[in-house]
Amino acid sequence: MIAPEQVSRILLPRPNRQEILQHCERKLAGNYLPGEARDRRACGLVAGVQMEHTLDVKRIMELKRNVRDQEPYKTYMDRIMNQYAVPSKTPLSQRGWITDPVELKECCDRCDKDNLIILGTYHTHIVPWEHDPARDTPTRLDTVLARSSNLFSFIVSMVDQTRPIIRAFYEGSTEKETLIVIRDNHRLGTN
Amino acid sequence: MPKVIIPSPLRKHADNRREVIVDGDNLKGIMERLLRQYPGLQIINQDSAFLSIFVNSRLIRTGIDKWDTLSLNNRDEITLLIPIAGG
Repeated sequence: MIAPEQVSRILLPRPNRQEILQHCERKLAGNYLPGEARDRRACGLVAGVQMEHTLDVKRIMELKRNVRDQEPYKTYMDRIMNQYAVPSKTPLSQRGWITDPVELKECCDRCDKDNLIILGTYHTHIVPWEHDPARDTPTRLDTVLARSSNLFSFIVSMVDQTRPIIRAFYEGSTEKETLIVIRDNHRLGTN
Repeated sequence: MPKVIIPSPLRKHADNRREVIVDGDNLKGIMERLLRQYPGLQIINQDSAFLSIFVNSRLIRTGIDKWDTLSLNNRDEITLLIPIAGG
């Protein structure tokens, strides 16, 4: 199999793109599901199949829980955040997310059952920064946390919710962006 | 022998295998043999705070220093997971 870092494009069906955006819009509007983390950010998994140099997205899985404030993750995240997070209006304690391992296992089991692999993760960026007004690329913190993950980081910029942007970066590296091609029935278009 | 399930992001370190049969009767021995067989999987030891191990559906919360006390039988299924994080 071709190594994921050599993938040249990601096919994202329009309905799956809509799923991601609807998840983000719902969380940003404060409409939380029972048992869901009550924070204005959305995180999820992107699953699908790899065909040579192309990834074909087949499933979006919303993640409900965030264990960032639970030990042993909290100590780790506090240390990483203090070291790498860019100062922001949002307090560090409210930044960063870690998937709940039980929820992650459930997602992995579902994918295995359907012969899908986890291709990547997605999460929202909502606050514009002076040096990065669109916030459509991974932060230094995103890169550190995605290092060696063998996953693509899909960054969903919702700075302007009327014009959301989704970009994909292998292991959260800004130097390893991969083209997302929106698949609309049998027609292809760029993101 | 117990079976170790390798999640898709880690499979490149295990010859793209989804599962590996590993001889052993406790978690410590099985993990040591697995990492000897697939040294690339040492990546899971980069930060032990991030490694999650399930035996069947049960998340193991026992510290690594006590893994030799976790007995396993031939039908047990071990799943390795590195929780995913972002900023």
